[in-house]
Amino acid sequence: MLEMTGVQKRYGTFLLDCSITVEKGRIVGLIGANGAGKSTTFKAALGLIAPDAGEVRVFGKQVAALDARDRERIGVVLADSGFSDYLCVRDIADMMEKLYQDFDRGTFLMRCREYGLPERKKIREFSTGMRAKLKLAAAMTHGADLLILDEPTAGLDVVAREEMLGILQDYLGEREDRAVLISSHISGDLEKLCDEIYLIHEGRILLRERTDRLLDSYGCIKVDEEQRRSLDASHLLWQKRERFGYSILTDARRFYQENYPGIVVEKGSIDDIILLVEKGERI
Amino acid sequence: MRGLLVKDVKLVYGQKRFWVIVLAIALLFMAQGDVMLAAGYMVMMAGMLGITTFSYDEYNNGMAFLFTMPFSRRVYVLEKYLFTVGGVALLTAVCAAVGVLFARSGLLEMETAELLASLLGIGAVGVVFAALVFPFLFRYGAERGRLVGVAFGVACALLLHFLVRLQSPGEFYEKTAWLQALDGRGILLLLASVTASVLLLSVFFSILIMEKKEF
Repeated sequence: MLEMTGVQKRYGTFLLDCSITVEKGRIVGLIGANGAGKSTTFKAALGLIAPDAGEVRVFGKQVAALDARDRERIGVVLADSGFSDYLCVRDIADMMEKLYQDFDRGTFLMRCREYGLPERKKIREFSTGMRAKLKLAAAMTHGADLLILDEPTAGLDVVAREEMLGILQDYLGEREDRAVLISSHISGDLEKLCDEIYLIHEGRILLRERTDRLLDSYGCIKVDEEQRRSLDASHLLWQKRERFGYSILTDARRFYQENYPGIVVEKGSIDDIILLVEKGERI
Repeated sequence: MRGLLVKDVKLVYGQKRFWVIVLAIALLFMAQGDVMLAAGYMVMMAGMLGITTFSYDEYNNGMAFLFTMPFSRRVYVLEKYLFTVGGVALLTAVCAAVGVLFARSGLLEMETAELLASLLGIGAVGVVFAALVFPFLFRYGAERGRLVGVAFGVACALLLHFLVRLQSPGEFYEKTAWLQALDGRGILLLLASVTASVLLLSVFFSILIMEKKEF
Protein backbone atom coordinates (compact mmCIF):
# COMPACT_ATOMS: atom_id res chain seq x y z
CA MET A 1 0.00 0.00 0.00
CA LEU A 2 2.67 2.50 1.08
CA GLU A 3 6.39 2.08 0.79
CA MET A 4 8.88 4.77 1.74
CA THR A 5 12.43 3.72 0.98
CA GLY A 6 15.42 5.77 2.14
CA VAL A 7 13.39 8.97 2.04
CA GLN A 8 15.49 11.97 2.93
CA LYS A 9 14.48 15.58 3.33
CA ARG A 10 16.64 18.33 4.78
CA TYR A 11 15.36 21.53 6.43
CA GLY A 12 18.36 23.48 7.73
CA THR A 13 20.00 21.26 10.34
CA PHE A 14 17.06 18.82 10.47
CA LEU A 15 17.34 15.73 8.31
CA LEU A 16 14.51 13.27 7.80
CA ASP A 17 15.91 9.90 6.84
CA CYS A 18 13.35 7.13 7.03
CA SER A 19 11.96 3.97 5.49
CA ILE A 20 8.43 2.84 6.32
CA THR A 21 6.28 0.07 4.90
CA VAL A 22 2.52 -0.21 5.32
CA GLU A 23 1.10 -3.44 3.95
CA LYS A 24 -2.51 -4.31 3.14
CA GLY A 25 -4.61 -5.00 6.21
CA ARG A 26 -2.03 -3.48 8.57
CA ILE A 27 -2.24 -0.56 10.96
CA VAL A 28 1.13 1.05 11.38
CA GLY A 29 1.80 3.64 14.06
CA LEU A 30 4.43 6.34 14.00
CA ILE A 31 5.39 7.72 17.37
CA GLY A 32 7.86 10.33 18.40
CA ALA A 33 8.18 13.61 20.25
CA ASN A 34 7.17 16.95 18.76
CA GLY A 35 9.62 17.88 16.02
CA ALA A 36 10.79 14.28 15.58
CA GLY A 37 9.75 14.30 11.92
CA LYS A 38 6.29 12.71 12.00
CA SER A 39 4.53 15.43 10.00
CA THR A 40 7.41 15.65 7.50
CA THR A 41 7.12 11.88 7.00
CA PHE A 42 3.38 12.22 6.36
CA LYS A 43 3.91 15.06 3.93
CA ALA A 44 6.48 13.01 2.03
CA ALA A 45 4.08 10.04 1.97
CA LEU A 46 1.38 12.28 0.48
CA GLY A 47 3.63 13.96 -2.09
CA LEU A 48 3.26 17.37 -0.47
CA ILE A 49 7.04 17.70 -0.32
CA ALA A 50 9.60 16.33 -2.74
CA PRO A 51 12.23 14.18 -1.02
CA ASP A 52 15.90 15.04 -1.63
CA ALA A 53 16.58 11.30 -1.92
CA GLY A 54 14.72 8.01 -1.73
CA GLU A 55 11.38 6.89 -3.06
CA VAL A 56 7.74 6.96 -1.98
CA ARG A 57 5.38 4.45 -3.59
CA VAL A 58 1.65 4.32 -2.95
CA PHE A 59 -0.44 1.48 -4.44
CA GLY A 60 2.74 0.48 -6.28
CA LYS A 61 3.08 3.86 -8.05
CA GLN A 62 5.46 6.74 -7.43
CA VAL A 63 3.54 9.20 -5.26
CA ALA A 64 4.08 12.00 -7.81
CA ALA A 65 2.48 9.81 -10.49
CA LEU A 66 -0.77 9.17 -8.59
CA ASP A 67 -3.82 10.23 -10.55
CA ALA A 68 -7.09 11.56 -9.15
CA ARG A 69 -8.64 8.08 -8.94
CA ASP A 70 -5.64 6.83 -6.92
CA ARG A 71 -5.86 9.81 -4.61
CA GLU A 72 -9.53 9.08 -3.99
CA ARG A 73 -8.34 5.85 -2.38
CA ILE A 74 -6.41 7.79 0.29
CA GLY A 75 -8.15 9.25 3.33
CA VAL A 76 -6.13 11.94 5.06
CA VAL A 77 -6.04 13.73 8.38
CA LEU A 78 -3.25 16.26 8.85
CA ALA A 79 -2.41 17.64 12.26
CA ASP A 80 -1.87 21.25 11.23
CA SER A 81 -4.10 21.58 8.18
CA GLY A 82 -7.71 21.01 7.27
CA PHE A 83 -10.74 22.35 5.43
CA SER A 84 -11.04 26.09 4.91
CA ASP A 85 -12.33 27.82 8.03
CA TYR A 86 -14.83 29.66 5.86
CA LEU A 87 -16.76 26.55 4.85
CA CYS A 88 -19.45 24.70 6.79
CA VAL A 89 -20.22 20.96 6.96
CA ARG A 90 -22.82 21.25 4.17
CA ASP A 91 -20.34 23.04 1.91
CA ILE A 92 -17.80 20.30 2.53
CA ALA A 93 -20.36 17.63 1.67
CA ASP A 94 -21.19 19.46 -1.59
CA MET A 95 -17.52 19.80 -2.45
CA MET A 96 -16.55 16.22 -1.61
CA GLU A 97 -19.50 14.86 -3.52
CA LYS A 98 -18.00 16.38 -6.66
CA LEU A 99 -14.41 15.42 -5.86
CA TYR A 100 -14.83 11.79 -4.74
CA GLN A 101 -16.81 9.34 -6.86
CA ASP A 102 -17.44 7.07 -3.87
CA PHE A 103 -18.22 9.82 -1.36
CA ASP A 104 -21.09 8.72 0.85
CA ARG A 105 -22.90 11.97 1.58
CA GLY A 106 -25.53 10.35 3.79
CA THR A 107 -22.97 8.63 6.01
CA PHE A 108 -20.85 11.77 6.21
CA LEU A 109 -23.75 13.96 7.32
CA MET A 110 -25.00 11.26 9.69
CA ARG A 111 -21.54 10.97 11.30
CA CYS A 112 -21.31 14.74 11.61
CA ARG A 113 -24.68 14.75 13.37
CA GLU A 114 -23.54 11.94 15.67
CA TYR A 115 -20.41 13.92 16.55
CA GLY A 116 -22.52 17.00 17.28
CA LEU A 117 -21.14 19.03 14.39
CA PRO A 118 -23.58 21.73 13.26
CA GLU A 119 -24.16 21.60 9.50
CA ARG A 120 -24.49 25.32 8.84
CA LYS A 121 -21.88 26.74 11.19
CA LYS A 122 -18.56 27.90 9.72
CA ILE A 123 -15.58 25.74 10.72
CA ARG A 124 -13.82 28.77 12.19
CA GLU A 125 -16.38 28.59 15.00
CA PHE A 126 -15.57 24.91 15.71
CA SER A 127 -13.51 23.82 18.72
CA THR A 128 -10.29 21.82 18.22
CA GLY A 129 -12.13 18.60 19.05
CA MET A 130 -14.92 19.37 16.58
CA ARG A 131 -12.36 20.02 13.84
CA ALA A 132 -10.65 16.70 14.60
CA LYS A 133 -13.97 14.86 14.36
CA LEU A 134 -14.80 16.57 11.07
CA LYS A 135 -11.44 15.65 9.53
CA LEU A 136 -11.82 12.02 10.55
CA ALA A 137 -15.44 11.85 9.33
CA ALA A 138 -14.35 13.21 5.94
CA ALA A 139 -11.39 10.82 5.69
CA MET A 140 -13.59 7.79 6.30
CA THR A 141 -16.56 8.47 4.06
CA HIS A 142 -15.19 8.09 0.55
CA GLY A 143 -14.22 4.43 0.72
CA ALA A 144 -10.48 5.02 1.15
CA ASP A 145 -8.25 1.94 1.11
CA LEU A 146 -5.34 3.71 2.76
CA LEU A 147 -5.76 6.08 5.67
CA ILE A 148 -2.91 8.44 6.44
CA LEU A 149 -3.73 10.02 9.77
CA ASP A 150 -1.43 12.51 11.42
CA GLU A 151 -2.52 13.05 15.03
CA PRO A 152 -6.21 12.34 14.35
CA THR A 153 -7.08 12.33 18.05
CA ALA A 154 -5.29 15.60 18.91
CA GLY A 155 -7.56 17.92 20.86
CA LEU A 156 -10.04 15.21 21.80
CA ASP A 157 -10.92 14.33 25.39
CA VAL A 158 -10.58 10.73 26.64
CA VAL A 159 -14.17 9.79 25.84
CA ALA A 160 -14.07 11.29 22.35
CA ARG A 161 -10.70 9.64 21.71
CA GLU A 162 -12.03 6.22 22.67
CA GLU A 163 -15.04 6.83 20.46
CA MET A 164 -12.85 7.88 17.54
CA LEU A 165 -10.62 4.84 17.89
CA GLY A 166 -13.70 2.64 17.94
CA ILE A 167 -14.98 4.22 14.74
CA LEU A 168 -11.60 3.76 13.13
CA GLN A 169 -11.51 0.09 14.14
CA ASP A 170 -15.03 -0.42 12.74
CA TYR A 171 -13.97 1.21 9.47
CA LEU A 172 -10.98 -1.08 9.17
CA GLY A 173 -13.09 -4.08 10.13
CA GLU A 174 -15.42 -3.44 7.17
CA ARG A 175 -12.75 -4.57 4.70
CA GLU A 176 -9.61 -6.55 5.35
CA ASP A 177 -7.53 -4.92 2.64
CA ARG A 178 -7.60 -1.46 4.17
CA ALA A 179 -4.42 -0.10 5.71
CA VAL A 180 -3.52 2.79 8.01
CA LEU A 181 -0.49 4.88 8.81
CA ILE A 182 -1.26 6.79 11.97
CA SER A 183 0.68 9.03 14.32
CA SER A 184 -0.16 10.12 17.79
CA HIS A 185 1.71 11.57 20.69
CA ILE A 186 -0.62 9.53 22.93
CA SER A 187 1.04 6.12 22.89
CA GLY A 188 -1.99 4.45 24.50
CA ASP A 189 -4.00 5.17 21.35
CA LEU A 190 -1.45 3.38 19.20
CA GLU A 191 -1.06 0.47 21.64
CA LYS A 192 -4.73 -0.37 21.22
CA LEU A 193 -4.88 0.12 17.48
CA CYS A 194 -1.62 -0.71 15.74
CA ASP A 195 -0.15 -3.95 14.46
CA GLU A 196 3.26 -2.39 14.17
CA ILE A 197 4.98 0.67 15.56
CA TYR A 198 7.82 2.81 14.25
CA LEU A 199 9.59 5.12 16.65
CA ILE A 200 11.02 8.23 15.04
CA HIS A 201 13.52 10.53 16.71
CA GLU A 202 15.33 13.50 15.15
CA GLY A 203 14.23 12.40 11.71
CA ARG A 204 15.42 8.79 12.00
CA ILE A 205 13.53 5.59 12.64
CA LEU A 206 15.11 4.22 15.80
CA LEU A 207 12.82 1.29 16.35
CA ARG A 208 10.39 -0.79 14.30
CA GLU A 209 8.51 -3.53 16.05
CA ARG A 210 5.22 -5.43 16.13
CA THR A 211 3.01 -3.99 18.87
CA ASP A 212 2.26 -7.37 20.46
CA ARG A 213 6.00 -8.10 20.67
CA LEU A 214 6.67 -4.63 21.99
CA LEU A 215 4.18 -5.17 24.80
CA ASP A 216 4.94 -8.86 25.47
CA SER A 217 8.69 -9.12 25.08
CA TYR A 218 10.12 -5.67 25.69
CA GLY A 219 10.93 -4.60 29.20
CA CYS A 220 12.80 -2.12 31.27
CA ILE A 221 15.66 -3.41 33.44
CA LYS A 222 16.77 -1.30 36.40
CA VAL A 223 20.24 -2.09 37.69
CA ASP A 224 23.15 -0.55 39.57
CA GLU A 225 26.70 -0.35 38.17
CA GLU A 226 27.76 -3.75 39.45
CA GLN A 227 24.61 -5.55 38.22
CA ARG A 228 25.02 -3.85 34.87
CA ARG A 229 28.50 -5.39 34.44
CA SER A 230 27.17 -8.88 35.18
CA LEU A 231 24.32 -8.72 32.59
CA ASP A 232 24.42 -10.71 29.36
CA ALA A 233 24.27 -7.87 26.81
CA SER A 234 22.97 -9.91 23.89
CA HIS A 235 19.33 -8.74 24.32
CA LEU A 236 19.99 -5.22 25.57
CA LEU A 237 19.04 -2.44 23.19
CA TRP A 238 19.27 1.00 24.78
CA GLN A 239 20.44 2.25 28.14
CA LYS A 240 20.01 5.44 30.05
CA ARG A 241 22.04 6.59 33.03
CA GLU A 242 20.03 7.10 36.21
CA ARG A 243 20.91 8.14 39.78
CA PHE A 244 20.74 4.51 40.87
CA GLY A 245 22.67 3.16 37.88
CA TYR A 246 20.97 2.32 34.58
CA SER A 247 17.57 1.85 32.99
CA ILE A 248 18.00 -0.57 30.12
CA LEU A 249 15.60 -1.52 27.36
CA THR A 250 15.49 -5.18 26.41
CA ASP A 251 13.55 -7.11 23.81
CA ALA A 252 13.79 -10.32 25.91
CA ARG A 253 12.15 -9.41 29.21
CA ARG A 254 11.48 -13.02 30.29
CA PHE A 255 15.09 -14.06 29.68
CA TYR A 256 16.31 -11.52 32.24
CA GLN A 257 13.42 -12.23 34.63
CA GLU A 258 14.30 -15.94 34.62
CA ASN A 259 18.08 -15.68 34.64
CA TYR A 260 18.58 -12.66 36.89
CA PRO A 261 16.03 -13.02 39.70
CA GLY A 262 17.81 -10.38 41.79
CA ILE A 263 17.27 -7.48 39.41
CA VAL A 264 14.20 -5.38 38.67
CA VAL A 265 12.68 -6.15 35.25
CA GLU A 266 9.50 -4.22 34.51
CA LYS A 267 7.02 -4.71 31.71
CA GLY A 268 7.65 -1.55 29.72
CA SER A 269 4.90 0.61 28.36
CA ILE A 270 5.39 2.29 25.01
CA ASP A 271 6.01 5.57 26.85
CA ASP A 272 8.88 3.93 28.80
CA ILE A 273 10.32 2.61 25.57
CA ILE A 274 10.11 6.04 23.92
CA LEU A 275 11.85 7.66 26.87
CA LEU A 276 14.65 5.11 26.91
CA VAL A 277 15.21 5.23 23.17
CA GLU A 278 15.07 8.99 22.91
CA LYS A 279 17.03 9.87 26.01
CA GLY A 280 19.33 6.87 26.17
CA GLU A 281 22.20 5.52 24.10
CA ARG A 282 22.16 2.50 21.82
CA ILE A 283 24.07 -0.50 23.18
CA MET B 1 -12.45 20.44 -11.10
CA ARG B 2 -16.15 20.65 -10.31
CA GLY B 3 -15.46 20.10 -6.62
CA LEU B 4 -12.98 22.98 -6.58
CA LEU B 5 -15.46 25.23 -8.38
CA VAL B 6 -18.12 24.29 -5.83
CA LYS B 7 -15.68 25.14 -3.03
CA ASP B 8 -14.85 28.55 -4.50
CA VAL B 9 -18.48 29.41 -5.20
CA LYS B 10 -19.31 28.49 -1.58
CA LEU B 11 -16.40 30.57 -0.28
CA VAL B 12 -17.48 33.60 -2.28
CA TYR B 13 -21.12 33.08 -1.34
CA GLY B 14 -20.06 32.93 2.30
CA GLN B 15 -18.84 36.51 1.94
CA LYS B 16 -22.15 37.70 0.54
CA ARG B 17 -22.24 40.77 2.77
CA PHE B 18 -19.02 42.01 1.13
CA TRP B 19 -20.43 41.41 -2.35
CA VAL B 20 -23.68 43.19 -1.44
CA ILE B 21 -21.59 46.23 -0.51
CA VAL B 22 -19.72 45.99 -3.83
CA LEU B 23 -23.06 45.83 -5.65
CA ALA B 24 -24.43 48.76 -3.66
CA ILE B 25 -21.42 50.91 -4.60
CA ALA B 26 -21.84 49.91 -8.27
CA LEU B 27 -25.54 50.84 -8.10
CA LEU B 28 -24.57 54.17 -6.60
CA PHE B 29 -22.29 54.85 -9.60
CA MET B 30 -25.13 53.84 -11.92
CA ALA B 31 -27.61 56.08 -10.13
CA GLN B 32 -25.24 58.97 -10.81
CA GLY B 33 -25.40 58.00 -14.49
CA ASP B 34 -21.88 56.61 -14.65
CA VAL B 35 -22.62 53.12 -15.95
CA MET B 36 -19.11 52.63 -17.31
CA LEU B 37 -17.51 53.43 -13.95
CA ALA B 38 -19.90 50.98 -12.27
CA ALA B 39 -19.07 48.35 -14.86
CA GLY B 40 -15.33 48.91 -14.49
CA TYR B 41 -15.62 48.67 -10.72
CA MET B 42 -17.67 45.47 -10.84
CA VAL B 43 -15.41 43.79 -13.37
CA MET B 44 -12.25 44.67 -11.44
CA MET B 45 -13.85 43.23 -8.30
CA ALA B 46 -14.61 40.07 -10.27
CA GLY B 47 -10.93 39.98 -11.22
CA MET B 48 -10.23 39.89 -7.48
CA LEU B 49 -12.42 36.78 -7.02
CA GLY B 50 -9.63 34.30 -7.64
CA ILE B 51 -7.31 36.20 -5.32
CA THR B 52 -9.94 36.15 -2.57
CA THR B 53 -10.53 32.41 -2.82
CA PHE B 54 -6.78 31.83 -2.88
CA SER B 55 -6.52 33.61 0.50
CA TYR B 56 -9.27 31.38 1.89
CA ASP B 57 -7.51 28.25 0.64
CA GLU B 58 -4.28 29.35 2.22
CA TYR B 59 -5.77 30.40 5.55
CA ASN B 60 -4.59 28.28 8.50
CA ASN B 61 -2.17 26.28 6.33
CA GLY B 62 -5.14 24.85 4.43
CA MET B 63 -3.21 24.24 1.19
CA ALA B 64 -1.45 21.13 2.53
CA PHE B 65 -4.75 19.37 3.21
CA LEU B 66 -6.32 20.67 0.00
CA PHE B 67 -3.57 19.08 -2.08
CA THR B 68 -4.18 15.65 -0.59
CA MET B 69 -7.53 15.63 -2.42
CA PRO B 70 -8.06 13.97 -5.79
CA PHE B 71 -6.99 16.61 -8.28
CA SER B 72 -3.64 17.59 -9.75
CA ARG B 73 -1.85 20.87 -9.17
CA ARG B 74 -2.43 21.69 -12.83
CA VAL B 75 -6.19 21.30 -12.30
CA TYR B 76 -6.03 23.57 -9.24
CA VAL B 77 -4.31 26.29 -11.28
CA LEU B 78 -6.71 25.93 -14.21
CA GLU B 79 -9.70 26.08 -11.87
CA LYS B 80 -8.51 29.37 -10.36
CA TYR B 81 -8.20 30.91 -13.83
CA LEU B 82 -11.52 29.47 -14.97
CA PHE B 83 -13.25 30.75 -11.85
CA THR B 84 -11.81 34.24 -12.26
CA VAL B 85 -12.33 34.53 -16.03
CA GLY B 86 -15.81 33.08 -15.55
CA GLY B 87 -16.55 35.67 -12.85
CA VAL B 88 -15.28 38.50 -15.07
CA ALA B 89 -17.31 37.20 -18.03
CA LEU B 90 -20.45 36.86 -15.91
CA LEU B 91 -20.22 40.34 -14.44
CA THR B 92 -19.33 41.84 -17.83
CA ALA B 93 -22.47 40.20 -19.23
CA VAL B 94 -24.59 41.53 -16.34
CA CYS B 95 -23.15 45.03 -16.83
CA ALA B 96 -23.81 44.76 -20.56
CA ALA B 97 -27.43 43.78 -19.93
CA VAL B 98 -27.92 46.67 -17.47
CA GLY B 99 -26.09 49.05 -19.83
CA VAL B 100 -28.29 48.11 -22.80
CA LEU B 101 -31.37 48.51 -20.61
CA PHE B 102 -30.17 51.96 -19.54
CA ALA B 103 -29.34 52.92 -23.13
CA ARG B 104 -32.75 51.84 -24.40
CA SER B 105 -34.56 53.72 -21.64
CA GLY B 106 -32.53 56.85 -22.41
CA LEU B 107 -30.62 56.89 -19.11
CA LEU B 108 -27.35 56.32 -20.94
CA GLU B 109 -26.33 58.24 -24.02
CA MET B 110 -24.27 55.60 -25.74
CA GLU B 111 -24.59 53.41 -28.80
CA THR B 112 -25.08 49.74 -27.95
CA ALA B 113 -22.06 48.71 -30.06
CA GLU B 114 -19.87 51.31 -28.38
CA LEU B 115 -21.13 50.23 -24.95
CA LEU B 116 -20.42 46.55 -25.63
CA ALA B 117 -16.98 47.29 -27.04
CA SER B 118 -16.12 49.40 -23.97
CA LEU B 119 -17.33 46.63 -21.65
CA LEU B 120 -15.29 44.04 -23.52
CA GLY B 121 -12.28 46.32 -23.06
CA ILE B 122 -12.97 46.56 -19.34
CA GLY B 123 -13.44 42.77 -19.12
CA ALA B 124 -10.13 42.24 -20.91
CA VAL B 125 -8.38 44.58 -18.45
CA GLY B 126 -9.90 42.58 -15.56
CA VAL B 127 -8.58 39.32 -17.03
CA VAL B 128 -5.13 40.78 -17.77
CA PHE B 129 -4.96 42.16 -14.22
CA ALA B 130 -5.69 38.72 -12.76
CA ALA B 131 -3.28 37.07 -15.21
CA LEU B 132 -0.48 39.41 -14.13
CA VAL B 133 -1.07 38.83 -10.42
CA PHE B 134 -1.77 35.07 -10.37
CA PRO B 135 1.76 33.67 -10.92
CA PHE B 136 2.92 35.81 -8.00
CA LEU B 137 0.07 34.52 -5.85
CA PHE B 138 1.06 30.94 -6.59
CA ARG B 139 4.72 31.73 -5.97
CA TYR B 140 4.53 33.90 -2.86
CA GLY B 141 1.10 33.17 -1.39
CA ALA B 142 -1.92 35.46 -1.17
CA GLU B 143 -0.54 38.21 1.05
CA ARG B 144 2.92 38.76 -0.41
CA GLY B 145 1.89 37.65 -3.90
CA ARG B 146 -0.83 40.28 -4.14
CA LEU B 147 1.66 43.05 -3.31
CA VAL B 148 4.42 41.72 -5.57
CA GLY B 149 1.89 41.16 -8.38
CA VAL B 150 0.48 44.67 -8.15
CA ALA B 151 4.01 46.10 -7.96
CA PHE B 152 4.89 44.12 -11.10
CA GLY B 153 1.77 45.44 -12.86
CA VAL B 154 2.61 49.02 -11.89
CA ALA B 155 6.24 48.52 -13.01
CA CYS B 156 5.02 47.25 -16.40
CA ALA B 157 2.68 50.24 -16.77
CA LEU B 158 5.46 52.69 -15.82
CA LEU B 159 7.89 51.03 -18.23
CA LEU B 160 5.34 51.33 -21.01
CA HIS B 161 4.68 54.94 -20.08
CA PHE B 162 8.39 55.84 -20.21
CA LEU B 163 8.90 53.97 -23.47
CA VAL B 164 6.11 56.04 -24.99
CA ARG B 165 7.48 59.27 -23.48
CA LEU B 166 10.91 58.55 -24.94
CA GLN B 167 9.48 58.95 -28.43
CA SER B 168 8.71 62.28 -29.98
CA PRO B 169 4.97 62.74 -30.75
CA GLY B 170 5.71 62.36 -34.48
CA GLU B 171 7.66 59.16 -33.95
CA PHE B 172 4.98 57.76 -31.68
CA TYR B 173 2.24 58.59 -34.17
CA GLU B 174 4.24 56.99 -36.97
CA LYS B 175 4.89 53.80 -34.99
CA THR B 176 1.29 53.43 -33.90
CA ALA B 177 -0.27 54.39 -37.19
CA TRP B 178 -1.19 50.75 -37.84
CA LEU B 179 -3.04 50.68 -34.53
CA GLN B 180 -4.98 53.82 -35.33
CA ALA B 181 -5.86 52.44 -38.73
CA LEU B 182 -7.61 49.43 -37.18
CA ASP B 183 -11.37 49.32 -37.42
CA GLY B 184 -13.63 48.15 -34.57
CA ARG B 185 -13.29 44.50 -35.48
CA GLY B 186 -9.51 44.79 -35.72
CA ILE B 187 -9.28 46.41 -32.30
CA LEU B 188 -11.42 43.68 -30.77
CA LEU B 189 -9.27 41.02 -32.43
CA LEU B 190 -6.10 42.66 -31.13
CA LEU B 191 -7.59 42.97 -27.64
CA ALA B 192 -8.61 39.32 -27.67
CA SER B 193 -5.18 38.21 -28.92
CA VAL B 194 -3.27 40.24 -26.31
CA THR B 195 -5.58 39.07 -23.50
CA ALA B 196 -5.36 35.43 -24.59
CA SER B 197 -1.55 35.61 -24.93
CA VAL B 198 -1.08 37.16 -21.48
CA LEU B 199 -3.52 34.63 -20.01
CA LEU B 200 -1.80 31.63 -21.61
CA LEU B 201 1.65 32.80 -20.52
CA SER B 202 0.31 33.40 -17.01
CA VAL B 203 -1.27 29.91 -16.85
CA PHE B 204 1.97 28.35 -18.11
CA PHE B 205 4.09 30.03 -15.44
CA SER B 206 1.54 29.37 -12.69
CA ILE B 207 1.49 25.63 -13.49
CA LEU B 208 5.29 25.60 -13.52
CA ILE B 209 5.38 27.28 -10.11
CA MET B 210 2.70 25.08 -8.53
CA GLU B 211 4.21 21.81 -9.74
CA LYS B 212 7.36 22.61 -7.79
CA LYS B 213 5.68 24.04 -4.72
CA GLU B 214 5.93 22.23 -1.37
CA PHE B 215 3.44 22.40 1.47
